[in-house]
Amino acid sequence: MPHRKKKKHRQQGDVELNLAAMLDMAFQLLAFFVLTFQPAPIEGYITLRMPPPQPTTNASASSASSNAPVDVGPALDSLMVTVTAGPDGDIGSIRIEEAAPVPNLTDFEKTMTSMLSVPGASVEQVVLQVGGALKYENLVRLLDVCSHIKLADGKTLDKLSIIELPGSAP
Amino acid sequence: MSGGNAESGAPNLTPILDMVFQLITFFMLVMNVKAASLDLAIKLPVLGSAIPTEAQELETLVLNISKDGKVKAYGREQNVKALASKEADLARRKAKVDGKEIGPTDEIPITVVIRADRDTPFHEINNIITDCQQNGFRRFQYRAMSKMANTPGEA
Repeated sequence: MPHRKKKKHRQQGDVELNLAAMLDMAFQLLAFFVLTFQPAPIEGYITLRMPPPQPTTNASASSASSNAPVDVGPALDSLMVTVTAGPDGDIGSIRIEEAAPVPNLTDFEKTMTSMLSVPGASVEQVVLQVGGALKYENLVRLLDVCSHIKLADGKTLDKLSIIELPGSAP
Repeated sequence: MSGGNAESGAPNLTPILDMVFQLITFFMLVMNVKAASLDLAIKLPVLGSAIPTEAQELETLVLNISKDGKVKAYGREQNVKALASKEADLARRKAKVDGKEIGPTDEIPITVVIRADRDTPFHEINNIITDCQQNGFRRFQYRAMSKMANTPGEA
């Protein structure tokens, strides 16, 4: 008898949940997420420590960096690299200090590595003096090469300063 | 497993609801909140050797720079000088709360992310970098596409 009673109670109180409303809402949420979904672009990066350029002890470089922002701190032994921009914003020429221009970025990397990887090389900062019209695309290529340059201690160059070549603004 | 209420002919909505909720969960999980700070209209240069952005810096200030040198951050156009000063001030105050002191000439522990259009001239970028450096920012991250991918607005 108690078993029978229980069965009867279940049938009377049977609650049916209306799932249609919930499904409507779920579809609306789904539509929102589908429409607003944007896959993140595959981006890469180059990270550099870039302090403002400090006064240089190198006579040839100091005249060129006269337009650099006002800085404090001791004079550092610097290596000045001058990169001019071509007519389309591409790399025109690359010159390390007063040496003859290097023809391309591959040679630039080789020359810089041979200069900086020598034990006892005393370069404390590398200053890139870049033409104002150089496009970001080419700047990134230049920075990429700089970030791969090996130093005497085996580490890569991750600290350099950038200034604009005086009178080169587009 | 029944196909619903046989007498009334109503379909069983439970499996479809399950599936829809799973789809919602999927989209919620893959939705990139950080992408909101990126201006996807900017055409970044392509650089094969750029490190993919997996190991992210903790604190970043993302600057989206258009071809004409206009800067967008936090979804709207900004004055870089004012923004850099404000961010530096916030970082100093935050450090003070954490018991550290960042002096006026000390480095701000925030990485400035430069996302510039591939055709932006260096002159514009340099002005922005200088404004950031004057406010104590020293770490800069230059963004590029790791491989060729179609970006919005690109044919």
